[in-house]
Amino acid sequence: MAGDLFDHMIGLVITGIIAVSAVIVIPNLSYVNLLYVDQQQLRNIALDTLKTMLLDPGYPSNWGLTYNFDPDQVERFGLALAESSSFYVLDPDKVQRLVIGNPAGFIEYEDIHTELRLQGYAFNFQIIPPFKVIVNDEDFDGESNSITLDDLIEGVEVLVTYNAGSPIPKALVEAKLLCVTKKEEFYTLSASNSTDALGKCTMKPDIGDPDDIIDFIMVFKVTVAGVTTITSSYAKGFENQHIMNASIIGENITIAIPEGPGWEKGSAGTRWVENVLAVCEDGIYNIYNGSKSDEDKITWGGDNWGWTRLFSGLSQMNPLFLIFNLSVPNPRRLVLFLGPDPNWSGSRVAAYGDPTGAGASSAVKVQRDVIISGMTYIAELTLWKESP
Amino acid sequence: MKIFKSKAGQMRVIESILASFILVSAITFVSTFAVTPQSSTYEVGALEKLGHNALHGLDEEKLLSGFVYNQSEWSSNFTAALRISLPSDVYFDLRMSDLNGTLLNPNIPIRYGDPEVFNNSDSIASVTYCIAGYSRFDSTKGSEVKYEPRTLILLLVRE
Repeated sequence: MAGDLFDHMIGLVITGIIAVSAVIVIPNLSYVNLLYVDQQQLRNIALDTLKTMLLDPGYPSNWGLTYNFDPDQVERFGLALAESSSFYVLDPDKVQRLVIGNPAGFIEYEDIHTELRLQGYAFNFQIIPPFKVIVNDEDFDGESNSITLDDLIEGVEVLVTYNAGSPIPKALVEAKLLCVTKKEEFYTLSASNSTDALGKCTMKPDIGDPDDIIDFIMVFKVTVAGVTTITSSYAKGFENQHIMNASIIGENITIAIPEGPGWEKGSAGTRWVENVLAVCEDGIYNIYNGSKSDEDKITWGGDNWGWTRLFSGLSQMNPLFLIFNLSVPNPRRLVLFLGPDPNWSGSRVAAYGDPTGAGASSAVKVQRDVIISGMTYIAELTLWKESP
Repeated sequence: MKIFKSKAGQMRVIESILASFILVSAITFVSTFAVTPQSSTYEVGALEKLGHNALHGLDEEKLLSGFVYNQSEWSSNFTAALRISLPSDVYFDLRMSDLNGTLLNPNIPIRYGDPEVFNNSDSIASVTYCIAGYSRFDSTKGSEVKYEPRTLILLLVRE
């Protein structure tokens, strides 16, 4: 009798242990599967979201072109160029509305998040060049640096890599140097070279007397296997104010003195727009010569806070970014500015959206090559689930 | 000693152990048939889309025929263009054949990644893309249009 009881007790204990183990193991097996399903669901949502953003022109179909831009008037969000017969051709006016701080108006992340009905999810969106062009990487961090006059004399090093980081040999690099001198003169120089097996080459334009140059901008056009990207770099030493708060919307160019910490050392004094140059895939064109009239005046605050002009035919030129030659005070001299941001660096949209979760382990990244203003870019969307 | 001599309850112990084993084995066996997103069914589909997009994108930009009909471009520019068009964690191997099925690039690999990856991976995607011919303009000969079909087979593997 006691033996039966003992055996039954042992049987019960063993069964209990196996049952408890099963309760722990089986849900775990299912949980791994559920995680995969969750990940796949996230990937599907990311792919659908990216497709919607890139294939839909949105409504109104020309919502990026509105001069008095109001984000509330965008009834449906999409970046596709309405007039294009090809897929994945994006409208540069709409793309520029994703640049936070655009003086012509921009659309907030929360608005797009709501319109795309992504409640419970967060995303980060960027449009980057198809390969990297790294200029003057003096600190070996894989990022471009501004250039000094000494760099210009010794030769500016350019490194061309795939976005994954490996070098691209035989890339054709064409550089255009735009200089202003002490005598308030403005001129351009050219140089070209090809990258070696390490993806590097040196650009050394013949600058003549370097003491005469007070400011410069270098524009790099790099071609790999028929695919081109254009980037630029500027002279070091002007308090990092070489990037202008500018926008190109349709055929309108707008520039403004940014709010916050001043433009140069003080905000007092008048700036005159001397020249505006459009950087296009096939060259750099001077599209405006200033006349030092009231129409070309910019001051901080007041009626002349910004400068805006309509350039008929500008949209046909497909400008990638602009170079502004401004006459600035204290002391009076010519200074070159680049804009809009981030176009001058070769990107179109830099990290739009929520930057917090882009590195999360559960985040899903999807990408697609797109065409903007005739140039190839990579549109990249990172999507993740928001924590409840 | 008496309790160890009694065998009446031992069968129950064996029964319960066997029942548990059968239950766990059944669940484990069934779960292997579940199509999870990392299984080859999903992965291959995603890679096929990527590969087709890459080739179609190059064709749209009018670069593809220039690469295909120019042997000197195969190992350099064609490979570079595909690396630019595809995500960095995707390896590829492109094989080109003519209308008779003759492989045109047996000695000139248009490839990114270790060839062993293509032999060992469970999830290899294959994309077939056809080009009918090419047209080119020569200042002396004028424009030339030639029907010379090529079949491109792009194999893709995730790193």
